[in-house]
Amino acid sequence: MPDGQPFPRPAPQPADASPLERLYDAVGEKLYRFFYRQVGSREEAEDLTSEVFLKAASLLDTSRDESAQRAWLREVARTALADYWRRFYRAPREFAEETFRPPRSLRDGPTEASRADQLPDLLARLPKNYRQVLELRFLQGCSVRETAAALGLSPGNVKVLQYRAIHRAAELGFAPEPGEGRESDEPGF
Amino acid sequence: MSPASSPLRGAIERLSGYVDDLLAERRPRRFLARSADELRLLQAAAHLRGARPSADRPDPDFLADLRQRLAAVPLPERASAHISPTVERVSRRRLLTRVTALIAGLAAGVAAGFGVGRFSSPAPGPSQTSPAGVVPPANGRWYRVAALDDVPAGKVVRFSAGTLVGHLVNTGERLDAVSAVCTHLGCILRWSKREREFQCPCHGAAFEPGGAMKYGPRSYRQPLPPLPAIETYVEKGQIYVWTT
Repeated sequence: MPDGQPFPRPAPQPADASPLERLYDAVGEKLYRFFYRQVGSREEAEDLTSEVFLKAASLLDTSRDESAQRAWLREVARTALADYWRRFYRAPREFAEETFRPPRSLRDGPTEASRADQLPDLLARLPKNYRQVLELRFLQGCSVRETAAALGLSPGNVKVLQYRAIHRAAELGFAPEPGEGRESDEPGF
Repeated sequence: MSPASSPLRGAIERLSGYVDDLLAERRPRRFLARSADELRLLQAAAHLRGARPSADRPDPDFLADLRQRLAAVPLPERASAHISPTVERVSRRRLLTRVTALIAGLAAGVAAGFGVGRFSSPAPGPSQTSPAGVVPPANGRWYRVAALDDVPAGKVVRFSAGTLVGHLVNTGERLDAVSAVCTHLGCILRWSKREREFQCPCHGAAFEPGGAMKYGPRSYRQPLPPLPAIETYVEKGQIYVWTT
């Protein structure tokens, strides 16, 4: 190989990687990204990812082909996510699965490292005062107090505005859309 | 902006606190949404947080650590090649009764190797509850702690899961799990095969396999509370316990 390799060296793959490890190498990162976008918390996404793969460690049927393994893993992931939300609302698992659909703009595959326009796209569809409060909170990470100072509102009013803005965002992009297939909810592998 | 009514006020405060946790990169505190609509607001907020540009990049250390953990998991025997891709949709309580059914079935000589979900009817009678109550962490999850084959009838096996240390007890009729922490001063109990009791190495207390106190600690006259029970379930030959 000449100097200045044009391509990064591929990560070394141990020849004796188990089927589980191969599956993890193929989709582990995608699954994490999927969970992160659903729960918005690094720690929670890490826990969910670990939970799914540790379950796979004991229950994955490695005699089946890789697409069957992935399908099984997707199902486990969806169940884990539904169980996660049941910690916040005691409803049958089926309900938690049904209530949640990612907004259309966020449903593309998680393979790209950056989808820099997603949240701004969603915010652009909101009325100005809703957009402002969500930008300050979610994009800039301002506290309620800082947001109140920026908007000239009381902290109590910021909380009310934020509630209404999230409600509107849920109506616009996060509400279940009838007649859609389930495949768009998948982790993207 | 008009002042909000009281239930709405609560929902507004809960949502704001939830967003605060997300923004501070804290694990969100657990609370119960009062309605399905409120849950959808939490999901929308989590999604707003998760949709920031490039925020979904995983920590490389996490990915590497998890891979190591997976490599360290011993591969289980795969006697049966058919594993359902669907996950059992059975409530915990029904699973509890089904565990009893499964163990009873094994004791009766029914062939092993099928999932608990195959039982067509839940076992009759009340679900198993201990006089000490059950260790019921609200935010728990199921931990796999042993293979059913490793806990044959009459056997007692120590396990640890998360923050919990306990014993699995196969009575021949059912599979129970009890805490391994002595209710006197918190020492870890050990199982005596000869005496068929849990013995405390610190002050000599002993407990029945079902968790009831058998002997009190030396020079301590009060009876001890029984060992708390732990919820178990069996799926595809694996034993799980519920804890944090």
